[in-house]
Amino acid sequence: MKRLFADEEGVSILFEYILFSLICIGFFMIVSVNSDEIFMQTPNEVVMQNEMSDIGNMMSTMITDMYLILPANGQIDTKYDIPPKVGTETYIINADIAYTDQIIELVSSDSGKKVRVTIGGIATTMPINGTASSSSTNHMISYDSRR
Amino acid sequence: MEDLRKDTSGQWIALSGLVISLIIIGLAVLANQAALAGYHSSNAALEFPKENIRELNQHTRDNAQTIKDMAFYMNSTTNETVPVAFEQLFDNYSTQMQKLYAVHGEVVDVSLVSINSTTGNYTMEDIDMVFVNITYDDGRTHYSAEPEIIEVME
Repeated sequence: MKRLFADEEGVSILFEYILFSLICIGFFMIVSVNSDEIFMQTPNEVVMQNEMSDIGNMMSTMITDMYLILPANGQIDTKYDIPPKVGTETYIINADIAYTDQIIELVSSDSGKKVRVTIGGIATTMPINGTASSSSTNHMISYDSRR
Repeated sequence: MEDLRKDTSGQWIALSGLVISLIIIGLAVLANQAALAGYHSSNAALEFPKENIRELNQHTRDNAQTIKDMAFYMNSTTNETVPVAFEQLFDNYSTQMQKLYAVHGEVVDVSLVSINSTTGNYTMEDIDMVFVNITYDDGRTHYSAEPEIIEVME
């Protein structure tokens, strides 16, 4: 151990250079192989998850709000805006399963990622159905007491 | 110490250290951006005018009650019949509501359909229900209650 500290000789500069180069190359290779996964897909996944549940919650809130004020005789139509893409993908809002499962489902068209949002059991008293594609220009929810 | 400063060999090591540190800094910045992107989701804006519609409805209900009382007062002081007085007062209310909501860029219409009395007389006790059409439109949301049935029993 004492010799290790006393020994002031290092590796040659050439060998040092090769060593550092190899470490750098190795590190760079690992990063570049995983870069798409690390820098593109993971953030995209997180963004999609957040944004889709955001939108799902907005839909759920809007339906709940409509349910609270809907007229005994009459109708409500409301237009709403949703972002055409979450992350890098378009998506479809599916409310057709609301009646059986009490949820709204957002399905991404490319990766098939699904986010489900509850609507708090409203569909048992007020039937909810329909689908909306994020890429269409107009989105609307309608209620009519006579239907 | 003097030795350490005078010794100019090992440039490659120093340079490699610099290069590596720059790479690590760059990667740290990238990794930070990637982590931040996760929290940067859009807030889907909710613009549904729930409260406005509720208020319009509630106001109309409250005012129908008040207008009923006022109509009887008018009937006792002038020779206006109760339904006619009610209609006039309700028209005033409707005009006011239209103006108030127009200030916010909303179109509303409150119009009286009928005053109902189960016995056919129009005394204080007999008028029990008023049918009113309420419509609301702010360009995005269209609401119509046709008719809204308002109970005005004491």
